[in-house]
Amino acid sequence: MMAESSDMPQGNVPDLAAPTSPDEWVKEYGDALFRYALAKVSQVPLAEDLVQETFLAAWQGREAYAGSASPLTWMIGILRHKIVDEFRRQGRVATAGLDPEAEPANAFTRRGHWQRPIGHWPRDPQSLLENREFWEVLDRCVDKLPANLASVFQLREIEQVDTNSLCGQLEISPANASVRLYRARALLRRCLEMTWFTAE
Amino acid sequence: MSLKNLQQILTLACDGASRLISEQMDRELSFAERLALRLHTLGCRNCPRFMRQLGLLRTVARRREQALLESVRQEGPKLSGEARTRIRQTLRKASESDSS
Repeated sequence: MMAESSDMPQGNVPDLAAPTSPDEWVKEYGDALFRYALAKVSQVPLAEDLVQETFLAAWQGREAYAGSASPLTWMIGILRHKIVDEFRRQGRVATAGLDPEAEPANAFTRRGHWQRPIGHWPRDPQSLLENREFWEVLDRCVDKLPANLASVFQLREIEQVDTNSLCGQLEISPANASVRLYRARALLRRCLEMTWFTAE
Repeated sequence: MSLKNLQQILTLACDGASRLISEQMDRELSFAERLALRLHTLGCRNCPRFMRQLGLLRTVARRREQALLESVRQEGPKLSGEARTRIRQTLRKASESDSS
């Protein structure tokens, strides 16, 4: 039906450079973009706005689309930018729902030892990789991150952006990025520990 | 963060070690940093676990993202009719005012 794979012959890929109906775009890609946005921001009105902004940006930039990636992949790239921009707009928020003792500033004794020992996680990481329930737990933990930490985690860990590009995109120093990543990882690790590995 | 002398290497505690563990995921550690971290983890029960768990977090986050990208085409909530209409109208206005 919809040619998404880049293996498909060119004739089957919708030609975005031609004056295509924007209505068609919404019909073909609206739900997919909405689902991605909702997975990242968890609020329906915000997700809708991000989808709209993405379509507008895609429409304005349609000449630049070279057809190198599938249309949906291209638009998700735009959407991801919008999501990170939204995180930046939200600014710093308190770490509600996360263990405050997992913040590196609070997690060590004066001598530099862990206040709380790092728990042992069962030795079967492979099974977790395909475990949908675990994914949902991870999603909820990531959702609790304050926006300034969520942005670095999304860019570095999920989109695999290198640190230089990350600093450029967020307009922060490498030192700042390093601290934020450290905090995000420590908080998420502890959140997973509490909600999955030692959940009562 | 960089370690500049022997004393720092020998006295690296869990706070410094955990920071290096995180840094290592984004850049290459210096020789001194690598040595300090290795020495520390030899005698520490917690930090090796911390390292393994951060590694697992990265792997699962990436896999989960992959699954998300695959799933958005097939399943999940849909745009409401109202939202869909609103978006189409906004797009239509933008494309009509487009003078190209």
